[in-house]
This record gives sequence, structure tokens and C-alpha cells, in this order.
Amino acid sequence: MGMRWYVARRLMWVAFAAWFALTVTFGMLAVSPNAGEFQAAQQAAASGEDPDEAIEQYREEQNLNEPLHERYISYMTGYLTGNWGYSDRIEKNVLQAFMDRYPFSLQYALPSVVLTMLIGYGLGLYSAMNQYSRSDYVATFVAYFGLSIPNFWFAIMGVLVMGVWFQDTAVLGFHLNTLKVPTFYQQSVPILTDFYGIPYPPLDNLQQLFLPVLVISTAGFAGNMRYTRAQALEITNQEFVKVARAKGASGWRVLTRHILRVASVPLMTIFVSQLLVIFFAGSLIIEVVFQIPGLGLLTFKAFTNQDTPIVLGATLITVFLAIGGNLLQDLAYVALDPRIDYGDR
Amino acid sequence: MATKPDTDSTFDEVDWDDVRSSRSIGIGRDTIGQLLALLAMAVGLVWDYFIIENESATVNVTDVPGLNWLVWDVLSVEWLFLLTLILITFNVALPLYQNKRLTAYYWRQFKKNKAAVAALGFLGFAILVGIVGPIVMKEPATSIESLRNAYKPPVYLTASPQGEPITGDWQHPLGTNAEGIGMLKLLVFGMRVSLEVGLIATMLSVTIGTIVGATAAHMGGMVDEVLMRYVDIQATFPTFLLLILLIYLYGGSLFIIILLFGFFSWEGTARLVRSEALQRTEESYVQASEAAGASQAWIIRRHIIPNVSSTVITNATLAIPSFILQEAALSFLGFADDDIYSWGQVISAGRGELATAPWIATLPGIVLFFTVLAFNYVGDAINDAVDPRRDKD
Repeated sequence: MGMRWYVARRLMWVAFAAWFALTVTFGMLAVSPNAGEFQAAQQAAASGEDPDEAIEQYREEQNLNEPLHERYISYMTGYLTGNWGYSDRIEKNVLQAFMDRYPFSLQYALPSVVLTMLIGYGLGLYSAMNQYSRSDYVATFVAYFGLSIPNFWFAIMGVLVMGVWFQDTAVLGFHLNTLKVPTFYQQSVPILTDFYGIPYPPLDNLQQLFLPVLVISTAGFAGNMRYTRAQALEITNQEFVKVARAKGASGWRVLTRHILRVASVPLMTIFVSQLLVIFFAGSLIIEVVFQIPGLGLLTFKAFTNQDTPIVLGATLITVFLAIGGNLLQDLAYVALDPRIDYGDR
Repeated sequence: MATKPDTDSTFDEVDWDDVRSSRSIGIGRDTIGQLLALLAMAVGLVWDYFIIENESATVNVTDVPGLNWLVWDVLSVEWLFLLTLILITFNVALPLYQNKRLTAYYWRQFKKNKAAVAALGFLGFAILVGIVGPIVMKEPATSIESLRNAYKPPVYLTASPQGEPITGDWQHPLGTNAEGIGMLKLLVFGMRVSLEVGLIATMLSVTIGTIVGATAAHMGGMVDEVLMRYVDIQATFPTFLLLILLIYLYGGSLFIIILLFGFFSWEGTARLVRSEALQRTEESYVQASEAAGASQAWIIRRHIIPNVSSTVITNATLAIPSFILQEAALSFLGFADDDIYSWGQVISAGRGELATAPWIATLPGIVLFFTVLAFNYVGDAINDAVDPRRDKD
């Protein structure tokens, strides 16, 4: 089977998965008790109107009285044409709301992913090269720490240490207060400032992003490190590495030219999916703790305010990005690794 | 086992009746024991839901002197928990006990990892506390009496959470929260919740994943294609957000959260079991069984699943901590019901009082961290112990 056919099949699969996600979401929505209906009834009851009438009016507005298949068709066309609904709560188009908020998330997600990968791969390779040495054990312990620490609790402890304990503690006459970084996000600080046309993040912003990046990287690098270590160990035991060693190549050369080259294919491809995971699942917790007004906080507020269009939008965007990330990952494999056999997939 | 393992068994000593009976009926002594235990549980379930009144506790021995502390209303999650414990006893603990030689071998391998042994000890203690604690301790309840004890610091520590300084006492060794409930009690009840989430969800996902994976591998063709493509879809979906969406739409009791965890996280196990089982299907004992006229279901149940079980159990031990962490995160974000004593909820509640009463948010996090850490250590050590490819020196 040729490469083109493989790519075409993957694309068809992506289309199917996206359709499946949309349909399942529609189905779940259709059979669930409607939050908006309840809200309308409550509002009507509070202002002395007839709740039943309010429910009827709401159903009429939301086209809930139409037959199911017509609702399904208009729902699908809406999502396919970029009309993702309108949130009454924040008075914005759903896609517009996401566009407004994503820079806040990206500004800490991107450095976190880069840090996560650099530290994770570096430590992983290092401990694979020095298997069963003392530093390997230390690195493994650090990885366990990162894997096991609850993200949200670590963030809160960051707030406790930075915001409370550093306040009036001095070590050997040195006031820790000077090392303190802001614990909660200030929206007044600009994300980027201009320096003669070159955009750069101001120090205030870097300071307030320190804790979020620290928390995310700690959780993220552990997985990377373990994966890299396992991968590298697997490759280290293969024939071509032994041949390279037998030929007298130095440890560094074996690492960079032989091991890293093969290991980089699976490692590079995780990058995309990792960014996505941090962007959405991780951002929810981080942004709630540090009050960063990005996608996570937007989604969280939508959940607590029963803002269904935003909730659906956030879920679907995540699903689509995950599907797209998977596709990229597979295509990257095909492009980067000539040994891959398409027949298997 | 058809042969007696303790004697030097020769061909003559094979107990053919045993062999025949286990072949024709397929039910051994252990299976009967397991069925009896499940039956007893089913009777209890019927008793709880149909015979006694809804409001009254399932186990109530207040009439018996000396046992009147034992009042336990078994909830739906706890019934599932009992089921899980029964399944673990008969499918993990009992085979390990019967197969002493293999167990000793595994233990020798496991013992090499000193940290994992310590972690296992910690987990044993934690599991005991989590199972027994909530039965013997009274459920935390807020009252005017308890509110008077609010914000007590841990014993010997002095803090001024509400203006004037107070010192902790032995009545609440780890201090109290905003409602005056002892932190120790909250930790014990939270341990129960975490254990329930970790064990039940893992049991569900392992069961489903094993069945799907083994079926896909053995049937092949269209069945394999459809099952594994569904697994692909489920693997692509960001489970955490999907869970939140489902909880948003249908409400988030602990029961539902556990079921959702179980039903939407088995794709890894299914893939693993499938690839392992594909290797096993090629082996000659499966062909021999086929030639002897065994049915497909028989081959899957008797030959394939037992042979991939070590992989499955390893996978399961590493799944437990991730479920525990996810539940804590959900509770922390407030997506779970308020009436469960999850550590995540306690941490979330203590978030506002970090400056004045830091023990409320700190203590549950420490226990959560160590529980998850211990499960990770033990899981990895089991992985190393049962993986025959690892070099043993």
C-alpha cells in the first residue's frame, strides 16, 4: 500500500471521527435534562410569571420543538460552517470568545511545553545512558515526584509558599519577600510589550507566569522522561548501536548520531499532543487556581454558569484539536521514519 | 490443577476425574467459592434495596451490647466496592496463594526494589484504614457543637485563624476544618473515597478492556476492525473534558463519576491485551485446544486471558493512581457532589484560608501525594517483577 493511500485513509478517518464526535455530543445533549429550560422557568418564577409559559417560550427560541432530525441537521450545518452558537451569558459568539481568550493560555502553555520537553528528554536520555547509577535513581525519583504530585495541590502550595510564607520570613537576615512572585494573575499587565518593534514579554508578566509554568512543567516532564528513558534503553540494546560502539564511536557520537536520531521520531510527535493536553485539560486547573483569564477559566465559568454553548464549544474544540494532533503525529511518522510499513495500519 | 503439585507427580498420579470434571463443566472449587460470595452479595443487595426500608441502615446491630458502634448503611458505591474486593480476592489474591512457588518468585523480584516494599507497606496500612475506618468511625457531621471547634490547629501547634491564638489538642490531633470536623476523620473518609474510585474504576476498565482486547484478537476480521477502530476514537477523545461534559449534563455523584472513569478509560488495556493475545493465539496450546474441539469462548476464557493476566494486572496497578488523581481534581474543581468526603474537596475548601489555617489544604494533599506515589512505585515494581524480558541480575 502506498503512502498516498495511507494519507488519504487517515484523512477519511479524521472526517469520520469528527462526525462521530459531533453526533455523540448532539445525542448526549438531546437526551439530557435541559439546563436552559430550568433556568428560564426559575427566572420566570422569581419575577412572578408563569414558569410553564417561560419554558415554552425558551423551547420555541431554541427550536427545541422541531423534530429531532431537523435539529440535528441545523446543528451539524452550524458547526460545519463555523457558527458555533452565541453565549447569552457573556454576550459573545462562541468562536469569538475563544479567539479573545487563547493568548492568555498560550503565553504559559508554550513555554511549559518547551521546558517539559527539554527537561524530560534531557533527563530521560541522561538516565538511560547512566542506567542503574546513582544519578539515574535520583532522576527516577524526581520523575515519580512529578507524576504523583496532584497538579492543583502543587499550585496551591506554590501560592502558600510564595504568597504567605515569603511574606515575612527571613533566612540569615535575607528577606525572602524580595524573591516573592505574584501568585494571582493581574490582567492589567500586558502579555507583550514593544521594544523598538520587537515584541517581548515584560518582567511583570514573566514573574506572574513563573508559578503556572513551574507547576505544569513539573507534572509534564515526568511522563516525558520515563518515556524517553524507556525508548532510549530499547534502542541502546539494538544491533546498530552495538556496531557503532564496536567501530569505536565515542559515547557522545553514539548518542547524537545513532540513538537520538531514531528516538527523535516518536519523541517529536508527542510534542503536539502534549501541547493540546496542557492547553485544555491542564489549563482548567491551573487557570482556576491562578485566575488566568484564558480558555480554561472561560470553560470553567461556563460550566458553573450553565453556559451550554461555551461548554459544547470547548469540548468540541478540544476533540477536534486532539483528532488533528493525532493526524499530524501519524503524518510526521510517515514523513520522518522511512521504516514504517503502511500495510500494518 | 489436575496434578498434585506437592508430590513428585508422575503420569499415573494424575487425577483424571478432576481433569474430566474441570473440562466438562468448567467450574472448579474456586469458581464455586467466587459464585457463592457473589450470591451472598446479591442477597445483601436485595435485602438492602427491597426488604428493609430505604432510610434504615443496612447493618444495624444496636441491640447487641458491645457492638452498638456498628451501624453501616451500605451505599451503591460501597456495594460496587464490595464486588471489587470479592473479585480481587478470588482472581488475584487466591491464585497467588495457591501458586506459592510463583508468588515466592515474584516476591523475590519485587523485594529488590526497597522503595516499592516500603510503598507496599504504606498502601497496606492505608487500605486497611480506608476500609475499616469509616465502618468504626462516626460519619462527619456539622453541628453547633462541632462549629465551636472550628479551625483548631494540629496538636501542639498554635495559630490564630480567627483573631485570637488557639493551640491544638489531642481531641483533634490533626486540627479541624471550617466546620469543626477533625482533619483525621476527613483523611480517613477521604481514603475510602480514593480507594473506591481507584479500585472500582480500575476493575471496570480492566474487565471491559480485557474482554474487548481478547475478543478482538481472537475473532479477527470485521469484529477486530470495528472494536479497535472504536478504541482509536476513544483514545483520541480527551477523557477529562468528556467526563466534565457528561457530569455537566447528567450530574456528578460519586457513583456516576466512577462508572464514567471505568467505561471511558479501557482503551489502553484493550490494546495491550489484544497485542499480547495475538501472540498467544499463535501458540501451539491454543491450536491443540482448537483441535480438541474447544469453543471460541472456552479458548478465550481458559487459555488466552490467564496467559495475558500478568500484563493486565501490571497495567491495572498503574491505572489506579491516575484515577485517584483525576477524581481529586474533579472534586477540587467542584464537579462532584458535595456530600462525598473527597480529599480534593477538602483542599478546595481550605484554599481560602491558606494564610490563617494552612493545615486544611495541606494535609489531604500530602496524603493524596503519598498514596499516589506508593501506587506508582508498587505498580512499577510489579511491572519489573512479572516482565520476563527484564534481565534478572
